[in-house]
Amino acid sequence: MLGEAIRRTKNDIEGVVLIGGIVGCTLFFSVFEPRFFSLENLRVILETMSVLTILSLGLNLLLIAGEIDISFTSVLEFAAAIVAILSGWRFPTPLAIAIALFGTVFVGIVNGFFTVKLRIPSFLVTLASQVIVGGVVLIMCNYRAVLISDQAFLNLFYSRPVGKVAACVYWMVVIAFCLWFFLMKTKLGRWAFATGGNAEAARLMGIPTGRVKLLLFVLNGCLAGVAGFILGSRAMSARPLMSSGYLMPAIAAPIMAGASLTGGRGSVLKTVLAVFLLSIVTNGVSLLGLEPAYRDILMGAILVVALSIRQLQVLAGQE
Amino acid sequence: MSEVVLECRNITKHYKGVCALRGVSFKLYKNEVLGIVGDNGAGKSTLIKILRGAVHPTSGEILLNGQRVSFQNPRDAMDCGIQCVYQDLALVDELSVKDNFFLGREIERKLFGFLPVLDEEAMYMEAAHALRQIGYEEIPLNAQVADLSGGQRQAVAIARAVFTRPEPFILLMDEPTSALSEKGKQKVFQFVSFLKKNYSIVLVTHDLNAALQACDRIIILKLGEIVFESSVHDGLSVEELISLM
Repeated sequence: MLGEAIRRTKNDIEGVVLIGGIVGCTLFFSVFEPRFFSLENLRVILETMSVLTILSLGLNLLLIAGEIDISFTSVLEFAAAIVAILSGWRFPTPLAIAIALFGTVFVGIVNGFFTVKLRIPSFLVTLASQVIVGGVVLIMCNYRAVLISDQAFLNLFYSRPVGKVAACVYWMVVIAFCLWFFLMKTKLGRWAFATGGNAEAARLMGIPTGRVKLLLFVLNGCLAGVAGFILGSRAMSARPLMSSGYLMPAIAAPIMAGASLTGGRGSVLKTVLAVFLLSIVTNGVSLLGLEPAYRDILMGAILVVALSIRQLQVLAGQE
Repeated sequence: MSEVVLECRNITKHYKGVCALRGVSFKLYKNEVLGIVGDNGAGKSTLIKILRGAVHPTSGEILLNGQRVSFQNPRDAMDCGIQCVYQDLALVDELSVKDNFFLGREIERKLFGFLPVLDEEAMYMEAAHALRQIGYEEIPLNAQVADLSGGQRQAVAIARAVFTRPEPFILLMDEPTSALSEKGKQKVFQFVSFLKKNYSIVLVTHDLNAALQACDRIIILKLGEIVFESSVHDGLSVEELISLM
């Protein structure tokens, strides 16, 4: 029984590192800042991590299939900008959301098309689309913040329907559960792992790897759109570059959770844990009154430590 | 003479000015192991790709049980009863043995009567049965394929090819012993002897000892043409085969 526990621990080094990191950071910040260890602060952390969680889970899907999308920051702003502009024109809330999601689906299809059909590396395709969509957002917003005046929309993503917890936390939980279900319980989820693990083998076994990747680009675009709705609701506005701070942590979280840039690996639960760890650091640094630069340094250090431990395990396995 | 299950007539394949196969014709009989051997560049890989539907011939025809067939993709070949054990085994290291076994043909059940989800229990039972049938019941079905030995990986690939739906009647084995130890090779030959009771097998290899040991008949391909065809019971030796290649 002990041997089995040790074997599982060795096989799940990312989970051990993440839980260790969460416990360690919680202890550290609790000692130096008494306000840190409270239910009220946990609520704040959960609310602030919702956007990053949804973005990271979207990227996790693509990393599993061996692809990456760095256009999500611009897509997030794009969705928020569409809703903001349409709310000014008094569009019905469901219609505004549908149009914004249609926009994110379109970007996902374009990213997927160039990656799958023209075989351009997804990093380059999505780098280009990030710049293009970012430019479109600048024009749409006229270089300024656009207020979101649709109260129903704001309520949908940032009201407090039960107790003090904001709706965005429920969105985060529901989306995380749905993605876990998709990846672990459905055929398409299994095909995503197979496509990233060995695309040629998957193709030989009759899996339509191109269509799987296209679907995941679209899903990732939609998730960036939902993250845009939440961020827009929190700020009650949309503005260019509102999501620039999410680029690094959204990519780092799934990688800390075990996703590989070459595909075939990734976990919803561990990605949520990784985002929780990064959010604890952000929150703790803020409560201690330190400059945001310290948060970046700590986040970078955590990423390097997590990757180093995993790599040491890989090297030990090879020996 | 036994019944012909597969016949290739004048198969030719051109790749951008290079002729990979020139009028290749042969027959595969029921419960026969046909070895296709040849040096690098002889056209073995192209021929097997055509037979499994991954490549279209420039000209020529393929007949299955006397009926002319045309494969647009590997799925068409599988649907016609041709399965392939690929040289690199076509396994996904990150997935479990069970998941690899059902790759692309997962069994589903309805959750709440409408939501299709993977039926892990049914897949587990079927994969366990298949591995038991070929004497590899010790392979843990939930282990990652990356953690298996070369012989175990080969067993998973062979079991996947054999125990599938629609049930195949022709097995294509592309260099099945290339990455195996001597012990592993012997195990594959045992497999082949066991499988030929129910299947007709095309075994592509550059290992002449393997071909002589496992095959009933051998064809030698050279620069895209068949230069030799004989039963292995005619006292063939490795040296003789080498001289013909």
